[in-house]
Amino acid sequence: MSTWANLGLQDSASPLMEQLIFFHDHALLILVMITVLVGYLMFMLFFNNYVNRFLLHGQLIEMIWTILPAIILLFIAFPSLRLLYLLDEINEPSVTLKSIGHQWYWSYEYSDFNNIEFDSYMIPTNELSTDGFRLLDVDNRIVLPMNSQIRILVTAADVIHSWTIPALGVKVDGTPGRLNQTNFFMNRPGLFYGQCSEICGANHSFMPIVIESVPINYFIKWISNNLNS
Amino acid sequence: MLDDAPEEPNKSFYIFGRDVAQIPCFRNSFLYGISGGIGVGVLAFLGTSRPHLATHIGFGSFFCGTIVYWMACRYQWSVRRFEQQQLREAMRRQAMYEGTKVERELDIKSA
Repeated sequence: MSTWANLGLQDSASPLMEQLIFFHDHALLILVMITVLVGYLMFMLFFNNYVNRFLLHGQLIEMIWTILPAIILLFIAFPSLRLLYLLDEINEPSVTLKSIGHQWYWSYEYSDFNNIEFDSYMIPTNELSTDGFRLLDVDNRIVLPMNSQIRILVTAADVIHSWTIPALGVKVDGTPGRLNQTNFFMNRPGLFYGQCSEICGANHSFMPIVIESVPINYFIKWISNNLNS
Repeated sequence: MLDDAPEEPNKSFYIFGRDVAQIPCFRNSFLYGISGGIGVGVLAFLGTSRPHLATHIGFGSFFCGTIVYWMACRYQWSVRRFEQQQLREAMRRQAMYEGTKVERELDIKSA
């Protein structure tokens, strides 16, 4: 989850997010090196003694600073496109979760299992326990099995919301009258936090999302407890 | 006896909250790039006695060395990682299918 003054990406909980982090590191190194190069060139201007009032063209240098950036961009583009298509691969999900955004809470439906439904409200700060996370904890978490493909269908009941979990690399807009689908895969147990990512009114910042990733036997037990209650 | 083994020195290096030493190939890229740049720059100065030119050559060596080493290292790391994942999956399947009909069929195919 995010802590204060967190600038970077969260630790990944999904193989796709792991790949996104690798690509981010690769692209950022190239960008840092380009910035260092430009900084060096600008610094060297202080020591320049050349003056040429009649400079018209320089074919060779023009060729160099056209072709070299094109080559550098290829080294960014190929991993980027590979990852883009990897994110769109079709898998066979074992569980489907429906998420409906409301002003200002999320409701979830597990239609695979005799229609388990519940609402998920943020726990207000004055009701938060001492070990709770302010503005992130919710009353009912989404419980999902780890090491399983999960399909999520996101929509909204009133205005546009966006269902996000940074640790899984998932962000899906929930638009009224539309179903958006994405898949994800959690490779470790734990609690993964997210917040609504599309401005939706006064309490847009106060409708978080919490996924509790559990081993599949715990998930089955949770499902049967919910069916019985 | 295992407790007597000397601990490896902590190589963490934080930039904006991220331990960049943990990024694969990052540390080696910059170590080789910076040392290569300094080395080539010094040699260029010894050869030409022109400090500005030597600085440009040194910086160019640092830039090219870092980027080239990074690309090669990341590619090799990515290939190795993929092979490790294939191996891990194969070991998992072997444990799952051990003693079953699927394993016998696979043994016949590979024989």
